Amino acid sequence: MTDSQFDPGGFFQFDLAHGRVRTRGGARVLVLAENVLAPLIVTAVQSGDLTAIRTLGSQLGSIVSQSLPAPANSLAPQVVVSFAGSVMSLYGWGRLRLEQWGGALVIAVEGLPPLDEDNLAVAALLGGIFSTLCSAEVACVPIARTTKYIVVDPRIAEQVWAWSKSGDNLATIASKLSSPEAS
Amino acid sequence: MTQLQLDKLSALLLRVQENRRAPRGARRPAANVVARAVANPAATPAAPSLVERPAPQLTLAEDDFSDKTPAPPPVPMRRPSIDRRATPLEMAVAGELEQQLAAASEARAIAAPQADARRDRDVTEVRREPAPARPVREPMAPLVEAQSLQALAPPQAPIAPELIEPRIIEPDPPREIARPIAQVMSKHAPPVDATFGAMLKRSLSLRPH
Repeated sequence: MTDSQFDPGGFFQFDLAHGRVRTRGGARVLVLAENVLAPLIVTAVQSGDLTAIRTLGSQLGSIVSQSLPAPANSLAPQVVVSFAGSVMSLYGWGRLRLEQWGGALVIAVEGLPPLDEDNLAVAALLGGIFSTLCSAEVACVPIARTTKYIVVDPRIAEQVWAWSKSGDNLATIASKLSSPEAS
Repeated sequence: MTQLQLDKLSALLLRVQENRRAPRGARRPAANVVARAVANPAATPAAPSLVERPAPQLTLAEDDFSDKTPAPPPVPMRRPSIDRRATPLEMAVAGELEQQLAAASEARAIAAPQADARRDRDVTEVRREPAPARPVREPMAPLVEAQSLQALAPPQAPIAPELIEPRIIEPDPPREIARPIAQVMSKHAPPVDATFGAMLKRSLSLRPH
């Protein structure tokens, strides 16, 4: 066994005697069905407050960071993505993949549960995870009609979201971001 | 005119002439005459009475509205006299204007009169002349079609997205799991005593101290 791979063994501890489920780090978790979680997330999206989802992402990011054999910035992206993907899979948030479009970093998530229409909840979750991993605040903007999220500075997230909503595809958005006008 | 009116008119003229012949001072009555007249108005019945008479009181009776005595003809109001003398500014302008007019008349006299058919024509004739027909305004229409405008416009570099080939970073394939993800700490749930006494005992124990 090498440390370059995430070990999921024994990640969840079911204490049936006390009716508790804990993670390896000791945090108590609850197992929820997706049809229970979805309306809660939709309500959060409608009220415009996804802080709780982003907080959950930060917790997942912390779990990833603690699992990594070294600081994230000193490891290959593939290693970090492997660990992050494993943690997300453990929590049931789908399969994670990383793409690089020119200078833009894109996260693809497959097998997501159907939550909100614009996938803003998962965007908040990914934002929390990668902000913790990057040690910098980043925003993940969903690309409309795809399962991909582009990682941007939070200050331009709204603009990128507007481009996405207006129908710009990922290549166009990446081109706009790489143009000198954007910088 | 009747004879009576003519007699009156002639008498009036005669009196006016006599008055003109009389010296100026004789027109005004002497002060003592006026005083006497005021003191004894009956002494000179022919003279106009200077005694104040009470003003006729106006009544609002409807009958009084029928004015039996004709009202005297309205006295035409005398307009204040206006000084028609020219102001210094007007006089100055008038002097210049006169000079300009004189110069213009001289020039007109020197210059040979040219036949100006339009000027010599009768004014009424000119007025009768139909106005020149205005060009009929054509309905506004775009000179060029929108498509041709696009063709005329300088070709702009289309914002074509660069051909970005995404580099996909796939996570490592998961290795074989040596132990299960979920580790069961206690397999057996505690036995539940469903008797009433047990439930009461639990509820009491759950009560905060």
